[in-house]
Amino acid sequence: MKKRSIFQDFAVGQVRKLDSIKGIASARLVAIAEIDPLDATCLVFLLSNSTDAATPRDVVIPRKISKLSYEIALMGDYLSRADQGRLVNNPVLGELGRDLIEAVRKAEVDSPFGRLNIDETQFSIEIGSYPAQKYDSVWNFRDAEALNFELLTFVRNKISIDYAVKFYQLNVENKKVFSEPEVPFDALRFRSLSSERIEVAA
Amino acid sequence: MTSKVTWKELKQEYSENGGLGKLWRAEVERICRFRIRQKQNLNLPAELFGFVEWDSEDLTQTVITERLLSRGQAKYIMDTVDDIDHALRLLSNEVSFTLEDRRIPNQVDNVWSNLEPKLRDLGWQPLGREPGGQNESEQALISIIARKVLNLKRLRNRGQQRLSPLFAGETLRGFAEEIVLDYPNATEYVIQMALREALTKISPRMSMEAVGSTQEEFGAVAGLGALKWVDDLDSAEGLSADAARILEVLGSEGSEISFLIASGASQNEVASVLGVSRPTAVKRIKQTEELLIKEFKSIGIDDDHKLRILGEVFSVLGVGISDGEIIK
Repeated sequence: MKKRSIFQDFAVGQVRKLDSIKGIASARLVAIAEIDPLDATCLVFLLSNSTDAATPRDVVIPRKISKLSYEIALMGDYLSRADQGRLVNNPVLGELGRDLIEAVRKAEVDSPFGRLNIDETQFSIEIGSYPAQKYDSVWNFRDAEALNFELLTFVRNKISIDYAVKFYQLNVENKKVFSEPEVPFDALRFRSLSSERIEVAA
Repeated sequence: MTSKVTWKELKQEYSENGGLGKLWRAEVERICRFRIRQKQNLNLPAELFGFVEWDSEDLTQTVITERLLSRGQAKYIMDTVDDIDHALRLLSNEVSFTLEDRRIPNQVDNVWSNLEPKLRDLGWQPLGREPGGQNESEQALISIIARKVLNLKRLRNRGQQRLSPLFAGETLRGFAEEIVLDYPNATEYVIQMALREALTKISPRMSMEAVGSTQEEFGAVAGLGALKWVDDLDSAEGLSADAARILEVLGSEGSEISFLIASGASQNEVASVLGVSRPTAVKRIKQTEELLIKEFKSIGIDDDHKLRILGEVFSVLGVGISDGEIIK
């Protein structure tokens, strides 16, 4: 009998813990904004419990919407990429809804400065109102959060050899993927080299 | 900061009880005791924070009921944390938030007591208020003035363990002029309500700790840095007595100057906090330095011990020390 996994598949809007990196960065809660199965990563928004210090760039989400036991602030400017491997072992703690995530991403692009332009009543959320000023403790807190988040996540470089290697390793059994236009050139080269080796061996 | 309890034990207790237990309570109380000691060293009365007297049990109970249970922060810690350091940093934040939430009315009083004379100097009269609830125009005026307060330039944050002045005298004078010119009908009630609304929003400024990465990376701002530095809370008692004596000699202005200089303030910033000109500020900084040097010479102990006392002085003042570095 096939053993059923206790873990849910990834979905946009899920709240999960992003594992810490021992001695380097502490764990944080994140909301999944986009899933990329080809290189097993997710784009994630950073979440914070400091709702009192949510700025106009943050979205404060009440418990009844997220189904969490506490209010949470989605830090709109903190969007980065994380390995799925560091999320998959952690259960889904809450759901923010795909529409809300899409609205935040749109608002991020439409209003890169100032208050996030999101309809608060439509999503039953609140936009933060804390007026951060340079060098106040919220400023320092956000600075520290950004550094920690940067250590937990990474910016994907699609023309890097790392990306090509990972792409190849993850999709080596999935031939269809290699005919798609997004496939990295080096991944094609690895595939072609490995095919030649098989032919020689045969 | 060292802790005898491990994160595994706290986690296990939470899971078994389905909530907080004795171990959690003991850790919260430990942090509360430390915070209270800092407040007492600064001669801050318990009434300022809405307590009858300083009692770690009262504060512990308040933190547990108002933050960890009502606001679900214990569950947040359970969901997020992987190690005891991170857990203690978050718990420490909760204690700070609790104290700040209770201090808002007094912050309003403080700012008001600085603002009122400036308003009166400009001819503002404290008009009486119509009896009854808040009407719409009054509410609108409160919101407008609160927004103005939020936009006032605040003084650079100097740590969380003390009562930092929020606004420089000059800033409040400009604000008073704006009220008198643009909102002559603003009553005392309206201005105070606006201050309350604005300061509620500003209050995290006072209490937020760095909950960033590892202790090595970011240490912890102010209080936690100090907490870490003195490691064993009991052994800090002797140092506290020496530090208290030095602070007594320095007096309130000397302590303020020491704090500002230790946390990297410029001469101009010291001047604006003291409400004096820059040359006068420079003179007073020099006097304070000389006083400190004289006091430390008179102690007559080894350099290592002197450094520990200096660390305790900083700790009491609200300047943190992490990995030998001074942090705000």
